Amino acid sequence: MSKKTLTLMSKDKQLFNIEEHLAVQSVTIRNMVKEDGASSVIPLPRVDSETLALVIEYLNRQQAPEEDEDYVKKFVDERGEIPTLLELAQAALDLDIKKLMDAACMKVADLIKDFTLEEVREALRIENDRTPEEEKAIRDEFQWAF
Amino acid sequence: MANQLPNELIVEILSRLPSKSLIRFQSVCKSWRSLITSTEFRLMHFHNFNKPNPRYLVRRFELRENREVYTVYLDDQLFMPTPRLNSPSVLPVREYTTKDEVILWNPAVRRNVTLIPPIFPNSYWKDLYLVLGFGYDTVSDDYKVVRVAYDGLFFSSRPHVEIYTVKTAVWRVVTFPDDLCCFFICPNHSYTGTLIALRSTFRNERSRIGYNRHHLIRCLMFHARYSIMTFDMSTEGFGEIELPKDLPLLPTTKVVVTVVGEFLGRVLQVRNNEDLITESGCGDLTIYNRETCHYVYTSSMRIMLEDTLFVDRYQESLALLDAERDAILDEAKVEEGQDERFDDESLARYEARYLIQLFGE
Repeated sequence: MSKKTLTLMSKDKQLFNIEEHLAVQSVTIRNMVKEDGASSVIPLPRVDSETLALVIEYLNRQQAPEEDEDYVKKFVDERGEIPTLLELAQAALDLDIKKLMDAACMKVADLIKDFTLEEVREALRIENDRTPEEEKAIRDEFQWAF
Repeated sequence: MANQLPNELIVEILSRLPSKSLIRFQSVCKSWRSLITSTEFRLMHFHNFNKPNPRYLVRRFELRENREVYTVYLDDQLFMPTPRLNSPSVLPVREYTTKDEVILWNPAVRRNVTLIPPIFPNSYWKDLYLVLGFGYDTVSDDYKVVRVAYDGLFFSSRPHVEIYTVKTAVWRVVTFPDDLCCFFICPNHSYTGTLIALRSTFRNERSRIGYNRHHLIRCLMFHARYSIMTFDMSTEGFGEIELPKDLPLLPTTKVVVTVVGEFLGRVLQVRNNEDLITESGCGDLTIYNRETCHYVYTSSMRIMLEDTLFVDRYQESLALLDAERDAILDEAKVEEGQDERFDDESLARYEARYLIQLFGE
């Protein structure tokens, strides 16, 4: 029995091949395959090629189940840059790959937990709509946390 | 700003942050503030943050400092203690009175609420015993305290049960079922996860901490057998779980005492790796690994008040974040009040007792 291969297409129109039984770790892909057999190319318009390459690398891992937990942790640790992790977390969220999403979000949380407010805004691309007075009120109320 | 992150991703990341960071990040922008203070987020954070960060809360009454000490231990290889928590109350031993005071305390957000006195006073019976339970009711999205008071001298009298709901801030009487023939109740320390420390300054105080809907109290039935009494925080109904009939009958105070390895200890908790956290004879915390049959001491011999050691899972929550600040027990006041002096006389008395225990056998 030959293994069935799926083709995934990134936002920038690059094609990636992956064996179907590995690809269906993603609940989103599994549902697509179930619905229409997914004989042709599966477009992923929100995932860029660099991130998709990472996701494919993750899905292709050959880890024993008891080492999987450590592997996922190491996998995200090696990509310690916040922008990369955010892309990876977003792709894992879209594709519904729970373990990868958990690990990537946890890594981001760990990196930003001691950030200043300004650093957080920059890292997560948030616009500041707080007046200095409002900021001060919260700071005064929870002085111990600052 | 270009290329904003989807809200769904932001929520996933924030729900994995410690409470302290979340409290600061309320200032990041308006939508984060409303997210962090919402019920949905509170529940999601409780699950997402605590699962990968297992910890334990240990409480004991240390005589050298003449006060309760709360420490959080990491559930890792070394079982390392992290810095202490500043508890809202610093009562010295001799002031452990019969005051009807119950405090709800959430160390993760440093908020505490002193409950109004219950309907049934502590002074009603000379030997009144209290069992306090705490839990979260998923149905009404509310935190509840259950207080069971019973007569330690005349066991035939019915226990008085009251429930406090945080949203309404009042105590309410609940009928104790007639068919539950209760003789002696001891609180069960094992079926819960920590959310908020609950304590009372009553001298026979037993406090329990929990998040689970089901609240379990171990009880000795009148017909000289043990069973587990259950209390459901949502339906507010009592139930009973039978235990094996051949369970040897021990004095009630020995119910939780177990022989592990060469020690006679009290099993306080089972860790995630299945090590047992036990209390050996002198109030020391020890870790017992069943595979290697190996004991690890985690704490030096400290002199503490008998029967004050308490261990439960420590789980952070944003509960009470919106609570009014407690005027009587403000954090600042507590910091000031940390008087390091201890009572020589009472210390000598407990030291004597402690040494007798140590060399007595």
